[in-house]
Amino acid sequence: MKRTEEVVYDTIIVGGGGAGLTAGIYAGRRAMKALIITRDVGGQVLETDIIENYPGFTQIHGPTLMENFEKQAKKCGAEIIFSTVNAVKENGNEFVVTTDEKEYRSKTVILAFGKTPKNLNVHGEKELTGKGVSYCTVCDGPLYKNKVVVMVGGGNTALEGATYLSKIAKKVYLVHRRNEFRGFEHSVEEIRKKKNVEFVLSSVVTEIKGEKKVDVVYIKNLKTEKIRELKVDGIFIEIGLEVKTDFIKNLIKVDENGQIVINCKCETYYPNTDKIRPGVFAAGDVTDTPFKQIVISAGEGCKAALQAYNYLHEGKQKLMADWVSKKK
Amino acid sequence: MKKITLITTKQCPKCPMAKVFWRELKSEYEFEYEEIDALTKLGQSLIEDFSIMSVPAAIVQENGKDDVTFVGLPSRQKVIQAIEG
Repeated sequence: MKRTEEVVYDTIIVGGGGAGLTAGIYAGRRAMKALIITRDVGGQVLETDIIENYPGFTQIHGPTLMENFEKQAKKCGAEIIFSTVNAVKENGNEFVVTTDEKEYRSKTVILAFGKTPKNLNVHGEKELTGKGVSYCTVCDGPLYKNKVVVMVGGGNTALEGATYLSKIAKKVYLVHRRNEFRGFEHSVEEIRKKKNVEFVLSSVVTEIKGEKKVDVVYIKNLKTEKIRELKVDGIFIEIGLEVKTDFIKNLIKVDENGQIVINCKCETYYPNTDKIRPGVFAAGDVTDTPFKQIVISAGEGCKAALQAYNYLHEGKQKLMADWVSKKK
Repeated sequence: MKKITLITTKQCPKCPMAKVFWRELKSEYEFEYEEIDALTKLGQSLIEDFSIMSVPAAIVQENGKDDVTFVGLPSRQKVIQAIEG
């Protein structure tokens, strides 16, 4: 049985990207006891080299921006732990948040865990993740010097990833299920010039094999139905992102894409209803907000934390701004 | 005494977090600790020997027996089990 922490948090924030860390900053500034549970600090922004559209910065390195968010959240009093949340359940007036190791108790919950890379869902993928199956070209690419790799995907991330890998690896197979790429034309043109990149179009990966690490990837041509065996050292999967909300589907309403449905105050709803679910808030890319941008995630993280504060103090005191104007 | 070797690269965005994670554990538990860049000669030999294809990765060793490898940011509980076990 998992150990339950005795402390009851005012809010537990699930996710440590732009939305979660901003929620931590605002919760902390409201003197709320806040815990951020996350698999990493920074989320998707960690894989963005240069950001040119975050107000206040003409250009900033993605991981640096997130490091600043983290420092600020900690300075404001938010606690951060690295773990994976498996369940969120209501228990009387509290919520119980279950991780791999422990159960945590809280009066409110802010769901801000963003999107995660899509899986191929083929045999061998899960077992060989970290052993040749990778979802982060920037992280793991340098380990494949003079090796043979597969890049799966047809969007800009896959094209940029294949271009990056072509400078390190001996050979890159670029596998895409369609006959043409979805990425920018100039990215396609750039990769066409690479002599060590072979296009494997109208094809899908059917199986990944290996004992200690990836040895073979099987590719099926969708037109001819023929299976091709590629002896490779690794496979990079860049087929987009998805929200993984299955573990909270009984708690709150999600849309047809699995995104959490929220209102303008970042409040959530009971499943399949239009009735507000008290105490559960959501922010950032995991929600049905149409534009997935860091500045929007940050804004929603702020709203979610202030609304959680408002919920905790309903009827007791009015929500007050935590800043004062500078008098001349 | 157990030895933990953390393998990282300069380009990997999660590696600085992994360094903080393991350095904090080092201050709480007794083990030898070393950080190696995967692109150095020693790093290359370790990633070959332990079939490491992703970073950050940590190798937990005790006299060359029962080696455990953690890839990414591991669960604190599982790491403590490996250190104490």
